[in-house]
Amino acid sequence: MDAIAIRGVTKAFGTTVAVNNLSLVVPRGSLYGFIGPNGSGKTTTLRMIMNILLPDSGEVEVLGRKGTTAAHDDVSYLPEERGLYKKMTVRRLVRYYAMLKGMRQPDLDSAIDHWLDRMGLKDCIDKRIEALSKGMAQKIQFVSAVVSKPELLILDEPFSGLDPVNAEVLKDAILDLRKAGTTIVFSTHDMSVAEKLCDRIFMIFKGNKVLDGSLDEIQTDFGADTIRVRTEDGAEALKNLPGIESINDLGNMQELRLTEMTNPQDLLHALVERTSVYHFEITRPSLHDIFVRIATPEMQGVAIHE
Amino acid sequence: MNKIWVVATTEFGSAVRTKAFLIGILMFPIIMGVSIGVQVFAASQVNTKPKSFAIIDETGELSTGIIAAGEARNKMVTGDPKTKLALYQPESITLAGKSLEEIRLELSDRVRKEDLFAFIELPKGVLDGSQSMQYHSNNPSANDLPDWLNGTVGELVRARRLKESGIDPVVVAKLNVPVRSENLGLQSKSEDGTVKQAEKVDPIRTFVVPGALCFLIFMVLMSSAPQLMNSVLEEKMSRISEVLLGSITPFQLMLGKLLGSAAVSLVMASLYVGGAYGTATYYGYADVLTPGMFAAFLLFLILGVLMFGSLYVAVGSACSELKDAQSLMSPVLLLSMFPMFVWSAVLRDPGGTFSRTISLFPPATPYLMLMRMALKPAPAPWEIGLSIVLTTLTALGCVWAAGKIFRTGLLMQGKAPSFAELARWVVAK
Repeated sequence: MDAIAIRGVTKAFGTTVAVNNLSLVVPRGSLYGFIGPNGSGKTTTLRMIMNILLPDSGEVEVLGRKGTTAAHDDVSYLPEERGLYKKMTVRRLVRYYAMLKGMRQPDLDSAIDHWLDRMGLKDCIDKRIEALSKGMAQKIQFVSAVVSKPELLILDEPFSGLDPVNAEVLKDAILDLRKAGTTIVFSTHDMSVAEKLCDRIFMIFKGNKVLDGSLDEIQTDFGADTIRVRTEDGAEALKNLPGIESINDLGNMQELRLTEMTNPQDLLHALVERTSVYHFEITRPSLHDIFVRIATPEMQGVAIHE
Repeated sequence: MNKIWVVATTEFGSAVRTKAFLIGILMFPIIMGVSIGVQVFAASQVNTKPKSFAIIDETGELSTGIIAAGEARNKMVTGDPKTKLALYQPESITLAGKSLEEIRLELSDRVRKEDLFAFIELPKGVLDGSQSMQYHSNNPSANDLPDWLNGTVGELVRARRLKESGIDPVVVAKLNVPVRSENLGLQSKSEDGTVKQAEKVDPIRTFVVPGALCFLIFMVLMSSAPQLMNSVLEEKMSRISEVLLGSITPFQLMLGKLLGSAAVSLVMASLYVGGAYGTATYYGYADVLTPGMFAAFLLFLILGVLMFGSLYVAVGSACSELKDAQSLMSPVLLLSMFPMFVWSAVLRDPGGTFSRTISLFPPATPYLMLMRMALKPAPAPWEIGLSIVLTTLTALGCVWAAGKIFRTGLLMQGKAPSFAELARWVVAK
């Protein structure tokens, strides 16, 4: 049984189609990354998985249940806009959220202690939420989502607004949960996080599914047409060379995409004649690159066509 | 059910922790205390500066009487240190060859210079009633002096008329002794055949207690139900609702909130009622709150919380901003204030058609039927029964409709819906 099965789901708000005829399967135990530009339908999809929104057509099955209520003790949700009571203390808040998931004492307090400790928030337990920094509040929100040991964890932009140290703490926690068998779905803007963390990646663009698969599969689909070069003269050296479709100047390094007919070896020859080459790598496009390709206006037709 | 309980206890815990709760509890006694204190203080601040006034007496016989009456009054005022009243200093004015017009101007100037407080003119016609006494002052709202003058001159004139007609004033006074009356309840026969004498009507029992009950339930409802709107709105604005809806159904959430709020109002009410009962016992009115009344009070309070609370919940869930919520809540507020506009009419005529009808109107029942139960004639048992049934049905209807609005509204962001849209949410499946 899959953790999530979405079949032919469409959701519109007025005349805007937020999600269009989407089908997606999230296997149990996987760590699924949802990517896509702002307003492409990520949050709408997550909310439909949570049953907070109901689809106009199609069906959503979560942990084998096709319910119409959002309440599900085995599913936890971290919304994009953090929802915490400002006046409550951390202890009361986490207890409340966990008890609403059906958790009871005596396990409750020890689980809370364990997670607060894990996230480096042990000293905050009696502080009010309003006294915490934004990053701390975000970690509290995460703790309150996981303390009830959900089978399925849905995180909407869990890393946004965290500094690198805290992002690392959160990433480790997510990986540990996955090791323990939790199915995790999260949305992110950060392609490097998605690349490093996820088993599988799903990209939605303008309400349509444009990518779905493991990173390897996705990159293979896009072919080895990317070349990274570092030369004495930088971007200057690449001017007016034949066979280059686009150049992404990264400063010390340039990323090139070749037209289909071009042989990379020819390019290398041409380049060596012009300048000293320090680095020349034939590679597959990064997720970031793929994302930009899909989401850049002139590429839209191509991407959706696939 | 378990989760409803979790919500209710948490809501209750959060509510009693807030400063607003403490203030709400203390507010009522403080407002009452302050307003009584201020009134007592204001009443004690009488201007005791002597008031001097001039009399232009054209009848030639009233001024002596006025001056004598003034002296008698001053003696009484100074004789009793507890009365705080101004002394009167009358002064008779003779024309001394000047015209009436000149004298008036002169006296008016003296009043302006505060040398005099006022002056009066007594034309001849005062004696037969064809002309009126004229009182001039720069301070028309101070009515103690004109009232006193009116009474005094009236008595002098009446005495003079009686004398002229050859009637002895002493006989008249004797004949004019007013009839006294007592306000009593009804006589009844007890089981052993002895007749129980009717008791004197006690204004505290008849007016103060019923009025206080009505006001108390209003106070408690107003300090707990609107809080629900704020709490729902806060959850909605900070997107807590989304997290909560991932764990419980909207209806469970709403019921939990209503129960929490009911518990808060019960705590408040029992503090007030306890305090009031203590005071009543101290003054010998312990029997005023019968167990039956107390049960009715609790029942109507809970029904009120469910009825108005769910409406406030619906308003809070339908709006995304406090501004929108305030305009949308005004009809609810009006509905919950409405009984306050008519309660005095019910108090005066509890058995009348108006009172009987209006106390069956569910939004008014918790206040007015409760008040009628404390009044005489007491409502018939079928009236009480019917009102409880109607109010319960209305409360359940409110909870049901609010549940529909809550479910839809909670996740709706942006512009506040119109009443037509709200109605559509309610009827939607």
